[in-house]
Amino acid sequence: MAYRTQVMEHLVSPRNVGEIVDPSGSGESGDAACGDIAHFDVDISENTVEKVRYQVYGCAACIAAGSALTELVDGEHLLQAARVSRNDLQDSLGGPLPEGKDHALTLVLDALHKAFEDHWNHESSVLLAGYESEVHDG
Amino acid sequence: MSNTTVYLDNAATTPLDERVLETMLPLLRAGSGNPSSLHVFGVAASEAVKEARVSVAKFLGASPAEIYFTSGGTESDALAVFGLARANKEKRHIVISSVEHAAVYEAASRLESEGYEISRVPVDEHGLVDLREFEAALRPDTALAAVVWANNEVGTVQPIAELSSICAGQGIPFHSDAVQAAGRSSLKVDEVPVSTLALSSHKLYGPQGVGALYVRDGVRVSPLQVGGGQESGLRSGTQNVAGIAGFGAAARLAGEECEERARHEMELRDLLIEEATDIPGVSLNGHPEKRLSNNAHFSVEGIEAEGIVLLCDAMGYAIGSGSACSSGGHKASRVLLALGQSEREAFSAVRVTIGKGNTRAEIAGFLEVFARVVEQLRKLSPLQST
Repeated sequence: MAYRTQVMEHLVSPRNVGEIVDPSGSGESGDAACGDIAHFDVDISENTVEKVRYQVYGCAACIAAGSALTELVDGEHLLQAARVSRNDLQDSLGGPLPEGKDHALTLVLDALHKAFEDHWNHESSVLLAGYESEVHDG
Repeated sequence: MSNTTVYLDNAATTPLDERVLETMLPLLRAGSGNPSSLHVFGVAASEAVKEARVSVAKFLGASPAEIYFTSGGTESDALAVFGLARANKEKRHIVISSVEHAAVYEAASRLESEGYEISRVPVDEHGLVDLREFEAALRPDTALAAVVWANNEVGTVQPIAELSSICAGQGIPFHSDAVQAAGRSSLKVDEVPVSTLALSSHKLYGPQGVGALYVRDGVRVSPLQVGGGQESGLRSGTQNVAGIAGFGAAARLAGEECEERARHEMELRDLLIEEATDIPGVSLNGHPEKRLSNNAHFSVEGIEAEGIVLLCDAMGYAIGSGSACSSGGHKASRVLLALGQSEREAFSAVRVTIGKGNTRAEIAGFLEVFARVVEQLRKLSPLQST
């Protein structure tokens, strides 16, 4: 089993590593069987991914997939970012991962989607609070 | 191993010694004959095999007739486990340690599926077999017992003299896989009453694909493969003449240089262990003293080993990982679990094994890279403890 150059490049120089202080959304995913964990923080403003940071505990494929995913969504419109697929991510890593490593794609996409969901939950509670205070005031 | 990467995975395989290659080249170039042939080519090949058998026997303090050449450590282990079991058919119980090399462990498991009862003797947190527990596991119907001389992962050296003496006292055949210990511990079979002992050439700076099984005179072993009756009928098949000659040369050199090599390895190993365990969250696995002269095995808290191994490789240092995330999911090292580690701890283990050619400067360079890699991956880890 050997990793592609693109995977190794992300492993050696992973992009957008870390956490965001007070992010607009956070998400974590983990594969209980495998023991891997991915964590994504996002800052979304006017439906654009202004900033994305990630952390991974897992094999090299998970680390590289997380890094590649941050590059695919950074600066993108939220709807565009949410549409990034397993295939897009795989392509950005130069093609299919070695056998048995596909879980890396699911792991990081799940964490990112949860971060978006968290953002939407915040947004909707803000909207709802605004709506409720309007109703109440009216 | 000709590129600029520093090789620190000598437990996986060792680079071929130039002097061994010189022994092999004439046999490879001329195209060695079949040692079973009567003509001049056959005689030359037979002489080369004979000479190697003498060298390997001398290395072990054995007689040449007790040395059987095989294709390597795994075959030697299989021949011992299946061969001793089948030669003692009326006995259906086997004792092994829980830290055996897969070649012994899986052979015993195969016999278990064929109806044998297997006792797997546990080890302490350093990987050491307890003599009393081992003795208690032996029964009148025990066909064989097997304990690895030194574990291939964490490097813990077992009390083979005592274990084999217990078995000898009860008339139970005792096998030891000495693949990693060869050239490091004294394997004198005239002092240690093992019945059979497995060796591999490529862990001794010899070629890959060759090994030997020592079988003490009078010990009954059934062959695994039959045919032309080579190796006194215990291992049929035309011998790998050049490989065997290389193995013979490697064993001779290992015998001559054993002390010097072990001293050199130990000096570098101790430097490595001392400095690496200064990195926060890095701890040593295996026994603090009773360990192979070339083995350092670390757990790195909060990081998976695969990233460490690949990053070290990218920065010029080849080391081994303790467990593998492979097809079908993670596979935590059975040996590390037997030492009482959690799966997560087992996935964070790396093995650094020194060879006779490594230098102090290489170890210093590795330590720098290792610290950097650990720091880089820690930043990535959501489990970071600092």
